[in-house]
Amino acid sequence: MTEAHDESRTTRRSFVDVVIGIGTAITSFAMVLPALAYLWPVTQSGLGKAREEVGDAATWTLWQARKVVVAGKPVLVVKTDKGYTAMSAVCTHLGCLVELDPVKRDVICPCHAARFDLQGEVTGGPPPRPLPLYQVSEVQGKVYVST
Amino acid sequence: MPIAREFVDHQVHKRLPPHTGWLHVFGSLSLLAFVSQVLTGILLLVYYRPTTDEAHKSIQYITGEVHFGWLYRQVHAWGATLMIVAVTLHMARTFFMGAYKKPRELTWVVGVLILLVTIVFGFTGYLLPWNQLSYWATTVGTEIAGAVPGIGPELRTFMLGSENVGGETLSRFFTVHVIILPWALAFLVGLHLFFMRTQNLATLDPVGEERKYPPEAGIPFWPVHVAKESCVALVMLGVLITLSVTSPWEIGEPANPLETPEAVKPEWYFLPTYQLLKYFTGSLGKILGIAVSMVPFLLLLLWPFVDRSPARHPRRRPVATTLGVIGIVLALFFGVLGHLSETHRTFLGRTYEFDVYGVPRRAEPRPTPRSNEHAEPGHSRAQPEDEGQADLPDES
Repeated sequence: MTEAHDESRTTRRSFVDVVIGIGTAITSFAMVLPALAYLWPVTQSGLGKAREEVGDAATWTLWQARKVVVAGKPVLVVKTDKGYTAMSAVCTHLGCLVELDPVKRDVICPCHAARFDLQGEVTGGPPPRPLPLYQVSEVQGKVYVST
Repeated sequence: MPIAREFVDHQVHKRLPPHTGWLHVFGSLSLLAFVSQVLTGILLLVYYRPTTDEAHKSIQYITGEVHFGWLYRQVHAWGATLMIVAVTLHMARTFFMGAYKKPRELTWVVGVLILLVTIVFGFTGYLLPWNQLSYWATTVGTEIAGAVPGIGPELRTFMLGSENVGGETLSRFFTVHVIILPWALAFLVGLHLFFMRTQNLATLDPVGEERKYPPEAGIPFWPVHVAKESCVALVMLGVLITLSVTSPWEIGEPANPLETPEAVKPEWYFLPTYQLLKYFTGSLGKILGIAVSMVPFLLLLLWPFVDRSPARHPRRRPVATTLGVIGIVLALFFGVLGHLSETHRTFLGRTYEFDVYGVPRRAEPRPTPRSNEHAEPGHSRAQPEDEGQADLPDES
């Protein structure tokens, strides 16, 4: 075409070029973004619920406690007379791992003599907060702990 | 770099013959399909585990947990089909327009090799999900290799890495699919494009009489032809995504070497050969069957040296055109026969049972349709009666 028009005037061609350019950019973006999301690791906190199998119900005796790892964190699971209970095994005081006291049937921390009940509530010692609870279920003879 | 800039400029603005149009988009479509497979394949590689213990679970993980994993898995699975369709359309266009004739014979030969590699891609990739259909379709598919005279059993053992399909097979097919074939195809495609660009597209003039068209009469590659190719490319992507969303491939049940599902068939692009081989029974018959099935591929490979007539326009080469049409019809015929064989279907109110050779007989309608009957190999459209099937013990 002729060069008679001045540069600031929008021609049909330049307009269409811009539209196609924007369309291409949006499409490319739309294709790259899901790929990046795909590559981002699947994390438990991102998706909410995590569930892990922690043992056979048959091999678990009453008042036996086990420490297991769920979603990368240590969890104390106890079989009580009222069913299973599970709580974070990390003492809320300074991070030591807690144990079950088989005599008193509550939870103690060996570091600074903290005490928690079977619902994770602080009953003695320095901890500032209760132990967060986990959900436990028994399905087809297997015990599962979930966040 | 001025040389690079000049080269790119020259390629981009190259003029194509005046008749170049919408039928000439399938080459770039094939390339796009390949690129799509490579990209989605790389993504899948991040989470896929190529062992018998973990393969199936990793597919579950990709489909269920990974962000957009379902999308990339479906795009990759459907992309395989689309790539074969694109390559076949491209081949048909080239055939019917006589573009394989002198001086472009080598371009065609490389193209047939590309087709073969694409098919092997499909075959090896099919095993990787390690579900029932993967396992048994591979068993059926490699069984015929054992019938090759002289080296049969050794050939089969070499392919499988063992006496039967197993962990060694998975490793081998994975290696071939993920590193050997991609490089092979990249090399072949590079060669193919190099030849094509050096010689430019064929006109419809007879061999030796190709008229030189003035530059103004030629179609500029950019932007005119690229615009057409982009339209078709976008439509293809649309079809791919639509299929991925509305007609997803199943995860299927984990491979069980002790239980063969009913009526196992290979994927659709193998059906013509698969069906044809059924008619050749007995040890001598099988060898004949292998030879007969190789004829179409050998014909394709050597066609530019078989067809020496100078005409390119399809109307001026009735013999070649007719043979091409016959070939397509035969492929479709045996493919459909293969699809219908060993199934139970109702047409216009009457129920038929198709035997292994595809011969129909009247049958009683079955009371409840079993989801196996209409299952496309490896690919079941999720329907209400199918939902029970995909129940796996570890799913939360």
